[in-house]
Amino acid sequence: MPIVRTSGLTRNNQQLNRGIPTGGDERAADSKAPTLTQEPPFNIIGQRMPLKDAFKKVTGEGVYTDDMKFPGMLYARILRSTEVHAKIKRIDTSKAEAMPGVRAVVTGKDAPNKFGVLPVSNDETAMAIDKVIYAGEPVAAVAADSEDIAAAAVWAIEVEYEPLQAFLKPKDSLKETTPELQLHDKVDKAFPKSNIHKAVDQEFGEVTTAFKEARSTPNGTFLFDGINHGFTEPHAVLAHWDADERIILYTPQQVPHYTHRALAKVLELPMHRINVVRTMVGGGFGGKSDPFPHEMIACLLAKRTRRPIKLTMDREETFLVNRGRHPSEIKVALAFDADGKLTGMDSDALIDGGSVGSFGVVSTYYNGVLSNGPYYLPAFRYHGKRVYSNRPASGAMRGHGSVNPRYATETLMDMAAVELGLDPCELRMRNFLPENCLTPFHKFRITSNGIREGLQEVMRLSDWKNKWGKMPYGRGIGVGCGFYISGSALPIHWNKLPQSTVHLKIDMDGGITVHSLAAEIGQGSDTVLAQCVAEVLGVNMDRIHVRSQETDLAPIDLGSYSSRVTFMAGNAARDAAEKIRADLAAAASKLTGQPAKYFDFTGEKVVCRSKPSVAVTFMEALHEAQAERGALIASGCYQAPPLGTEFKGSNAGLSPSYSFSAYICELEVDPETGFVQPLKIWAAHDCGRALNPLAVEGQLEGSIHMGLGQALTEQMRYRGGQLLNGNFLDYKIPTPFETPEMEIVIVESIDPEGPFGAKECGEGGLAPIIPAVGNAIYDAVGVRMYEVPMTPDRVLRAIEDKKRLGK
Amino acid sequence: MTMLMPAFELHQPKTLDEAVKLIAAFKGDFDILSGGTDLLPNYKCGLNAHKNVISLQHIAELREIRTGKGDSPQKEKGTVPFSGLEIGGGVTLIQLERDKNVPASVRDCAHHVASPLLRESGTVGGNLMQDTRCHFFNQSYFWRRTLGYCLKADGDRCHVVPNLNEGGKNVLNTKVCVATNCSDLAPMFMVLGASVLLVGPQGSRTIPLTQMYAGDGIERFAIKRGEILAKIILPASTANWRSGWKKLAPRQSIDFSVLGVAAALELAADKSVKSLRVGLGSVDVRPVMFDYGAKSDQPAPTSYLFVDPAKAPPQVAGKKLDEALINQIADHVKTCASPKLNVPMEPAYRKKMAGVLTRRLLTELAAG
Ligand SMILES: Cc1cc2nc3c(=O)[nH]c(=O)nc-3n(C[C@H](O)[C@H](O)[C@H](O)COP(=O)(O)OP(=O)(O)OC[C@H]3O[C@@H](n4cnc5c(N)ncnc54)[C@H](O)[C@@H]3O)c2cc1C
Ligand code: SF4
Repeated sequence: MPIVRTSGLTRNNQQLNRGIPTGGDERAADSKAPTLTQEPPFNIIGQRMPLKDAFKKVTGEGVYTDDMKFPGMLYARILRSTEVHAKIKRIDTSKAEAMPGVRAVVTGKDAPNKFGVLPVSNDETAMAIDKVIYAGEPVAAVAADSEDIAAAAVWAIEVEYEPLQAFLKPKDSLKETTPELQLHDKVDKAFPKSNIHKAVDQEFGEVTTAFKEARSTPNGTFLFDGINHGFTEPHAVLAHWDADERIILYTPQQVPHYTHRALAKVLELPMHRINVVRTMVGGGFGGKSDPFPHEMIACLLAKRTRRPIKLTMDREETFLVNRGRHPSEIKVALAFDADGKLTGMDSDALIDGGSVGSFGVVSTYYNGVLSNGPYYLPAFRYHGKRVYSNRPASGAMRGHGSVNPRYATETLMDMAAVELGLDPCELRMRNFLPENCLTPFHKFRITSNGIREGLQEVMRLSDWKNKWGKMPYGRGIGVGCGFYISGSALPIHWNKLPQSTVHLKIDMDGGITVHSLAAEIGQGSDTVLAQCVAEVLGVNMDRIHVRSQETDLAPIDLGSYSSRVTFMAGNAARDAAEKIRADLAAAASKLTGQPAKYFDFTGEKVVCRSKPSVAVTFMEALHEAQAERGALIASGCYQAPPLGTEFKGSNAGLSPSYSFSAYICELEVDPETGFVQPLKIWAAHDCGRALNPLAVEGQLEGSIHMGLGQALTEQMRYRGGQLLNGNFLDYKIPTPFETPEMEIVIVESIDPEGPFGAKECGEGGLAPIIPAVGNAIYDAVGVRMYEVPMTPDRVLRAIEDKKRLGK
Repeated sequence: MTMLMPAFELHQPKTLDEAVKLIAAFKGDFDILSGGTDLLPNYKCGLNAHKNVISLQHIAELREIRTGKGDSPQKEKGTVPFSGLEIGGGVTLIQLERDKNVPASVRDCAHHVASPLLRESGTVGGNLMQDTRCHFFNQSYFWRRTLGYCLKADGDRCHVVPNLNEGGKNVLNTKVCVATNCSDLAPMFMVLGASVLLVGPQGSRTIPLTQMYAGDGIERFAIKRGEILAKIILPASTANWRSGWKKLAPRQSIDFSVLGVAAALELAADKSVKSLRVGLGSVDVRPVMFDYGAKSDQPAPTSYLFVDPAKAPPQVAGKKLDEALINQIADHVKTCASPKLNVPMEPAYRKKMAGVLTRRLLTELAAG
């Protein structure tokens, strides 16, 4: 029985402790509770604590790439394509090169090797070669003594373009075209003459029968504008080709390891001659997880000049690099029997990938397969296509691939409830996957699942039963649910290496250094690794120093994406700490004469369980363990168990564990202006165990805020191929006024394989808010929203259409 | 990509006289800087920057708000009689929203401009004189170069109204710019009958605020370049009017209006309407005002290009401001509003909202 605990942050940051306790005894008594190496009570796990880098951030002491300066450093600027789709006839850099203060100019021909985050779509080059495929694509770059000189010099580069027909509507990209008009030479094998990057077709179960026999078959076509991560820190990198003939790249990367690989390919250097240093990351959300052209460009200029090169982008450029959520058109139909049981799903997604592949193959799968939860789905058909177009590339963004289809499904669930005369929450309850099950086709292994408890709790807190369908016109309440992976079970690069490795080093000073390449991107990964280690060794947090920056120092970790760090790197950290613990227990045994297995590690002491008076301090045990050996070191790792089944693409969506969420939103719609004002959100999320409830709440509040942006205000707007609103005035991220009070309910289902029972909480919490808003709008004014974001003009049009057409 | 501040020389005069001398000396190659929240973002985008920037920040006399009580009127001969309140052009928006002598509607209007941080720097003069806005203009150099520039900066085309109907003929590439004036304070001050004191190399003068704006997005003003807006003068005569402000914007902070509605209402003793003015912001190249109580049956001019003059304004003087009349006025406002597709939110939607907000505002004012 999962444990539910609630806490809420009001706008003035007062904490409402709802006081549902998380007593360790309850859990121990629970028969289903898994066997963990570490059973509660805990010292560190479960405590609310500020993130390790919080003080550096709020005091301004934190060093971001743009803060860094090296002697002799040059500044780089990129010349970007002013054409949407064109052949490059000629590039003449001579005028720029002749300008005083200009030290180097590079173009695409200087680095022709292709790269990309996925080995299956290595379709990017550092700069355009022969052809540009979106307005904003890097064409050349300049390094100069100052930013002003570099900025002036890029426009002194002459480029002659021959414009080509542009692909701006995804439907156009589906058509057969000439090789000249194909954006890439490699497209989906089944459509060799098109601009289709990836097509996925899956069908399982008796879909046609399900629809034939259904009592309710809600369906609709849903349109989603593209959105951008909107992280605070624009892209900024610093590269140095040093006197030892090594390249050092400072970059705020979510995945230093993939950049490391891509650099080796583009620079034609062995990986060991490259040191990627992750600097402090001012937000990522998926937008800093690809290896990027600008990283390559800085290195090329550094190689050319042998001087440190800094390349900082402005906001517009950051928007143009994009990799945000795909603009999508998703057509979905669901089938239900008379009891409200989901019997089938038929969906079709056309997603606009923009200029390059990025994570797109994964996105294409996720748009379909991540609909196989949180509900039991006995028949499933999916056709998904991702196309190339002449726009900034879409990629991975918080909730990758699951968010838009989730909106469609949850809206249709609501429609079915109305049609069948059921409460929408009740309808969902009837369909949730149980704990300890496999989904029928993809064999997603559901271990822990606290979604029922979560939904029950938010229903209770929001007074759902007295509100849904019962409030005056203009006021509404809606529900949305979801689930998400805790890391992908299979790595992008096929190899036998563990997905996470963590090294520990403890010397006589008693400080514990954790080496990992899991990237701290603001989500708290350093803190969580430190917590896992501190808990196992029974020490205070201030002993733990996390070094998670350099590929030179840290063992490989696949980085911060797909919500994998707590689960995978956390397990690796725990594994390493267990090894040190064994050494320390042996030392304590030597010092006290008690058997090693009898020792507990708590409060900076190593205590004999049966005789608590027999104890040594952590430092005593440490020094004993170090005798004739020196610093203690250990390596721990994590590799996901073999999962899934065998059909093409069957690994997409597999994860060692899944998080679940259930949200309720209450809001007001102004029926004359179409403005929507969220009033309160109750959000339950099953994260297995909250290792640090403060951080969990932060992630959920952040997810909700971000989701509200997509729900109501955020959209990337274009004029032709040009992004119209690549700045934070015109790209409408919600302000505190648009952000209502949130009450966060943490559901602890104690996952059997997560570190101390934990699973993800960084991404899954985004998707449910959007349909909760949409369904609440329906409850308020009786209209279904088929376009996201649900901007005032769209809401008003829906209200007026309903009045006019009477439906 | 070229969001770097272009080089300019900054001048910091301490008095209006000094400022005026500098203006005369630079022969057009200058800009006046007050809070800089409008000018400097445009400079960063490379929009019509000049070599000399004359800051008004150190001119103390521009930063005062004075009530008219007992003071003698401005010595300058003006067309408008002495005022109830004089607000210096350099008064910041924060100062304005906090000053108890300022009418509540104006304070409310100021309070909803931009964001707290911008209101700390942004000034009243800058707000009234701010540049017009357009999707195709408020962009980086890179962006505009990609598009091929436009009339308002570096180019020879308009992308919003590439062709127009002039005298029944379709005219391509007219030299007309329809960039939108998004000042929130302008329509608010207008309905309260504000006038402005202008000080320039040719001397000083006071004119009604309604006469300060011209009907083009590029040639925005009917005053001379280099005339400093020294004061906004609110007449005592409207001090007892009911007035209010409603703003439509995608978000409740930071954003420019996509529509602003101001109104001021004077009631006779029998509660019938004596005067009624409605001002609109962010729907046209200049702030628009309709003076429904005015003697002439013609409302104040709106955009010279797009308004349907056939739509006669409702008569309001002497009538009760009831629901029917309010609806008539709202309908008239809606019909006359002609927003363009160059700021956020669709013109058709904003036009419709002009009616809704007008009705809501007048209903509130009628209720008292
Ligand atoms: C993000 C953002 C949001 C905004 N939102 C709003 C909004 O909601 N509503 C709104 O109305 N405005 C808005 N603004 C526009 C503007 O910044 C403010 O209105 C502000 O009041 C301008 O004042 P300033 O002193 O900063 O002007 P400045 O930038 O100093 O000047 C603006 C223009 O006026 C001229 N000028 C300034 N003072 C004088 C003077 N005394 N005499 C002659 N010419 C003068 C300058 O030469 C310049 O051309 C916004 C701006 C930004 C950046
Ligand atoms: S309206 Fe003015 S600013 Fe906008 S495109 Fe036309 S000319 Fe340029």
